[in-house]
Amino acid sequence: MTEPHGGADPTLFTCRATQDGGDWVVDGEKWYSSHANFADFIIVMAVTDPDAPPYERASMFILPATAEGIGFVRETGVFTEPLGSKGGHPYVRYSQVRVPASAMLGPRGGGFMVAQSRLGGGRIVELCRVRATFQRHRRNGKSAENFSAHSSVEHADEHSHLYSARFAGHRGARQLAGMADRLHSGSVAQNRGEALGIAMLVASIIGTASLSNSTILYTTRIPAAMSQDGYLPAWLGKIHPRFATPARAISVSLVLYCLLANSLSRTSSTFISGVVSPLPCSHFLLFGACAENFPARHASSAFPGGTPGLACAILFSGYPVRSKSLLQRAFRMALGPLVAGVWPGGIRNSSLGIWLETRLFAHIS
Amino acid sequence: MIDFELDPEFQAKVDWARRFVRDQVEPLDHLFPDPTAPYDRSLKVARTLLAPLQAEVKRQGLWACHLDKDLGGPDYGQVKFLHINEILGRTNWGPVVFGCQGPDSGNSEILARFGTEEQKERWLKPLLAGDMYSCSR
Repeated sequence: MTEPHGGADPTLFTCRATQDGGDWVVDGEKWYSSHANFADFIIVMAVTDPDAPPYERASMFILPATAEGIGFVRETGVFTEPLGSKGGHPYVRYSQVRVPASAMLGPRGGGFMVAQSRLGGGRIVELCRVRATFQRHRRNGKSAENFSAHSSVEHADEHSHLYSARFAGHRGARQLAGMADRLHSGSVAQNRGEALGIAMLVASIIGTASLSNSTILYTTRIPAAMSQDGYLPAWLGKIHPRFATPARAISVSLVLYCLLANSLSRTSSTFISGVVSPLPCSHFLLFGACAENFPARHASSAFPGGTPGLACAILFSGYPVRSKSLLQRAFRMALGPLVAGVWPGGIRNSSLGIWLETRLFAHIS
Repeated sequence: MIDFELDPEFQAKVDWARRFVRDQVEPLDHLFPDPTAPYDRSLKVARTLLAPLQAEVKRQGLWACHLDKDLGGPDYGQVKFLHINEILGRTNWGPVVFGCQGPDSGNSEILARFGTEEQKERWLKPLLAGDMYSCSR
């Protein structure tokens, strides 16, 4: 479900399957094809009807691994997999791979439906297994040296993450079990796909929020530290007298990331938007922690819009994922964090931003 | 509120799986530590060690526990399956020994749900038996 140019957004897939006589000819490239180099057959999602609505363009095909035209550009290894010839997630090129009509899995144009019927469950399985792997590594003390450098606070932090991951897994499995019951009792598969889509969006927002938490510091403090060390101009590292944050470094980073986010591919810009949104928050968040030492500044430590404003700013980092056109995405990217994070009264103005956007872009998408 | 209690019968299965994974499967992780080794059929020694372990799991009725009864699985459903996964995740080899490794587990589900009789005969049967591996993209 990942292609080199479009990332993991299947509506951007270009891997094509075209009809030739009674056969289908598959042509295209896929990234991170789990175990393709060990497999006897590969199930490929390829565009069969490019003019259909986005979610009815692709179909599934079963390709025998021995079929002529399947080649590995790289046998990529991810996580701890070997990097040489036996990585488990190859970059696969399908060059005019010919299969009979009987190789199609599920209905024509049903690629999304087939994929969605299964992806949610797979994610929960992964979560449970990865959590257990991490716990084993901790217990075995495999990285004893790394862990010995940890403080007890960090240990406790990891422990609470492991517990919350376990709860997330159990909760997801129960929801999925409930969904499967409803599916069997007669509702259509599409409903399940939609519900899973929402579940995955929520998961991605939670994921992005925790990513934001860890990106707030380094993206802005590194330029500040570099300027204090003399590698960058000194004015960049100046500390804001009122907020006690490196305000200039934060602002410059914000502008740079906005520019980057709007000029790159969808995958990269989604990632960068995760970095962009917390930057304005960064002005204020740390100050709250030192408010005790600066009682006179306590009033300015409040986040605009209060707790809802802060929640809104964090949620905005997941917001651009669902954008449609490039222009709309650019708009959300540039304005989202500003609307939620900088203007006073975050919530009200962000709804204004959404209202403005729907008016502006209604005719485009 | 999530209830983590299990019925005694399934609790016994979970206890067995925990012991089995610790005593019989974890050693494989030390002998063949690459995360992709369980899928590499050129490792002859590893394959010889793997077969009897898979047979033991089948005897215990825990083979392919992601599957419904009509496909030869124990029909545990997502929640019970998760308790097994929490044990299997401790090792690289666990999922292959228990016949529920990704991406084959998901692929078997979509083959079962959407495949034609011919496709099930050719791909699904050997996949479920552990004689084949697959990939989906």
